[in-house]
Order: sequence, then structure tokens, then C-alpha cells
Amino acid sequence: MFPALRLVSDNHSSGHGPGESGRHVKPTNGHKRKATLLVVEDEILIRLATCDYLREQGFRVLEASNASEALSVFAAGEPIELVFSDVNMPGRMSGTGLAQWIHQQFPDVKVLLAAGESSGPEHASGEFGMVLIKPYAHETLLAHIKNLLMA
Amino acid sequence: MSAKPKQKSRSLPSTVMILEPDVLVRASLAEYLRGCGFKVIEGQSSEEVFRVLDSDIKVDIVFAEARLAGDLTGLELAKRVRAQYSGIDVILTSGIANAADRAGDLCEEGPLEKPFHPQELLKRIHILKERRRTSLPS
Repeated sequence: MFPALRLVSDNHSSGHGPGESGRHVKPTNGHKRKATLLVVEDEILIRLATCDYLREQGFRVLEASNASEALSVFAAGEPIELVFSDVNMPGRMSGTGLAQWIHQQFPDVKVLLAAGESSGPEHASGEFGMVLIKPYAHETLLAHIKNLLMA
Repeated sequence: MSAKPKQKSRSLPSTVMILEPDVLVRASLAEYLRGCGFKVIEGQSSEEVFRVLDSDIKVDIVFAEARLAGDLTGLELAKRVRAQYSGIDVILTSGIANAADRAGDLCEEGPLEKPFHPQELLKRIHILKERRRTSLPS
């Protein structure tokens, strides 16, 4: 099975992350704080385009190239509010598996998945979160992220 | 971003591609370099570096860990970048402390003031790695 996190849950749910830099991480009760997103995508050109776009929109964006890296980022105690992950990734955990793990370990973290399907609706409800169908416009992604962060 | 803009007369390299296998080290270096004004691309393998260099994305500097586990060593990567792509500098680092120092040097030339001392960057990386070590059973 997937690894369970020890230790970091309490740290995370309080909204405090590493905080050593004192720059990105502040207590959660203000609206000014930059929300931290984690983007998980194995194709680098897609990852960097998506992450650049989201940074331009004012988010703090952490990047992982597979689910295992995503677990590392969670384990390090980063104050992640939302994960946007591709469903199909190499490695032993898929995006769906990652979504399930997050749902169990960090129920407050929002999850948005992207699935490769060239036709059909642009989004659907998956078991562990909303699924965006590729290709999607960056604006569509942004709208979904904002909705999830506000929910 | 809290750093203040600096006036620089000469044209500056603006895009840095980081090649670092460890996600926590990579993300920390990337945030640090973004903090002093670089556009930063994060790559975890030499294959990813060439995917980017072969695209239409302009890269000025490849900042790579020399001790790579894949099929290319850092040195081989540097040779190939220099042979196949013109105008790209390669900075090879060896270990985290060295990478933090070199990132600090790069920040000195960056468009913005350094967000914090490279020693703080190194400390932050060690803290993140220690948290991972104690909370993720391997």
C-alpha cells in the first residue's frame, strides 16, 4: 500500500509550513497569503507551461514530476492547499492513487485531476475530486482552482 | 516578492533551467532563484533538459548537479549542451551546499536583490529533507 505520513499532519492542518524563509508562509487567517499549489505532471513542457501560468496568476507553485515526488513535498510539510495532478503518470502511483492518498492523509487539501481524453465534457466529477479533461484552456484550469479554493 | 528592484545596465541572463534529481532541493533552489528575479524551469533528468532546449523556450543558463544518477553525468551533459546549443552557460554543482553557494552567486547577478542568504537556503533544504526523512517511511 501507499506510505502513511507520520508527524506532518498536525503541522499541515494548522496552516503553518516550514516557515524558515518567513516569506511565503503566514498564518491562514488573512486573505492576502499566497496560496500554495502543487502541480504534478510528468511531461516537462506541460508542467512548466502550467506552472508559469499559475505563478503569473499569483500563486506559489510547487512542482513534482510524479506521485512519489508529490509525497516528498507533502512529507516536507509544505502548506499545500490544492494539488493539480495528471491522472496518467509513470511510477507506482497514478494521479488517482495520489488523489486517494491525499484524501486520506490531508482531507482538507483540494484535488483537481487532469485526464487525457480528447473529446467529451471538459470536466467531470471523480471519486476523489474534480477531473479536467485535456486539452483544457488555462483559464478553465484557473476557474476550477479558484472555485475549489473558495469551497 | 519583498525584494527591491536593482538597476542593472548590462543585459542579464533571465532564464535558468535547474537540473536536480531531488524534488525538495530542486524546488528550494528554484524558489530562491525566482526570488531574485530569474525565470526558472525545474527539471529532474538530463532528458528533461534536452526536451526544453529542443523546444522553442529560450534558456540562458543550465544549473545542474554534476553527480547525476542517469545515463549522463553532469560533465557529459555540460559538454553536450556546449556542443549542441550556442549561448547557454552551464553551471555544474556538486552537492547541496555547493548548489546553494552557486545559487547565491547567480543571485548576485540577478535582476533583484537576493531574497535571503544562501546559508539560509541550505538550512531550509536540510530542514525539508529531515522532515521528509522522519515522516515518509522509505
